[in-house]
Amino acid sequence: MWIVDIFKRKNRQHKQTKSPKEEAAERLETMLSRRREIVKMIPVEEFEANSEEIKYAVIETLSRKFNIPPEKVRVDYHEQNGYVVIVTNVNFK
Amino acid sequence: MADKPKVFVVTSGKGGVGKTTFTSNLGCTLAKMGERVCLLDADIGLKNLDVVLGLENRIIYTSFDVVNGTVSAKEALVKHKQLKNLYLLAASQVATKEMMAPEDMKRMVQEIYDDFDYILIDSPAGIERGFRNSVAPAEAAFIVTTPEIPAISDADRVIGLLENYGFTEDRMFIVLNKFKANMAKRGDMLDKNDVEKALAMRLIGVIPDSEEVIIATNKGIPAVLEDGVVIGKSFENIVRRIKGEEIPIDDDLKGVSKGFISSLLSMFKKR
Repeated sequence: MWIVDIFKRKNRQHKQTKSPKEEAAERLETMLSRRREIVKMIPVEEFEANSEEIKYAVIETLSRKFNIPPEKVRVDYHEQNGYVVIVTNVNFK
Repeated sequence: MADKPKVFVVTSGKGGVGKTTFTSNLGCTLAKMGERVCLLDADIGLKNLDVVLGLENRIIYTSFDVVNGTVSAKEALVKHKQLKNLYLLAASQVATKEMMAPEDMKRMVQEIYDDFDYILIDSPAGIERGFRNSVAPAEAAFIVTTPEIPAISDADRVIGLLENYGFTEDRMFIVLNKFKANMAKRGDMLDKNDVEKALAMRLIGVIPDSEEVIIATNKGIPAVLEDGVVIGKSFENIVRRIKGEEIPIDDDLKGVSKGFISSLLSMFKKR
């Protein structure tokens, strides 16, 4: 009988854990859904021409996303390798 | 830009996914079908395309000599030993990626543009200068990935960058390389639907993992030039899909799972 028990236990354990494929698919979805919102490259020329509007759009997006007033979002930017790096600072207090 | 793209960059983000092998085999498949093809190695400093093609001893000039003005792009081309309509523009091993600019690549491709039906640029891994150089003259992109999280994650990042460079979805082709059908069937590996879902794009082809590729690379002959190789079908299908034919993706994996008898026969054949 103990042999049957071992098989039963093994079967139960197998059913409870996810397959490597399922686990990988889940991890991938979490990683990629988070990243897609962040990646955005704006050429320097385009940014220089519309810097204030872009800054305001960033503030508005973040204030909506985190449900905080726009005054609590600070946006700075600088140039690096031909691209604009936007640094956002959100005060949640 | 032409209606149908003819300058393709082969990229991935991650290294080791098979960009160079893909470039050489796709180039050979196109040439076998009668197209005039030029393969351009953009992996300056770590070039390998000449080695995979078995042309490493025939290189006299490289793309660096073209940029320096020593020779023209046409003078630097090396003809393939078997396929007379396949050419290679090799990369230098002593130069660095920073010694070339995206504008240099554009000029070089422009010089040979009218002489070929297809120009394939083998990009280095990463997303730095070498990647930017390779992408600059390209009209379309192959993004090579394997069914593993790091490769798919990097492919996603590259798709984002290509979008920023102005590539539209119909000019980006995802290739799933080194696919192990048996592992996917057992639930141990991501399958083609998982990759399509993660990248939110359709695959242009699936290339099964194959020992034939290693054997062929050691010989300096791209696998598709050998008779009866499993991956040959995938490459033919990819070419036909680029040209607008509708071929089901499952067709790429036909003949991958051999029966007992054919496996036994192929064992004897190898010896």
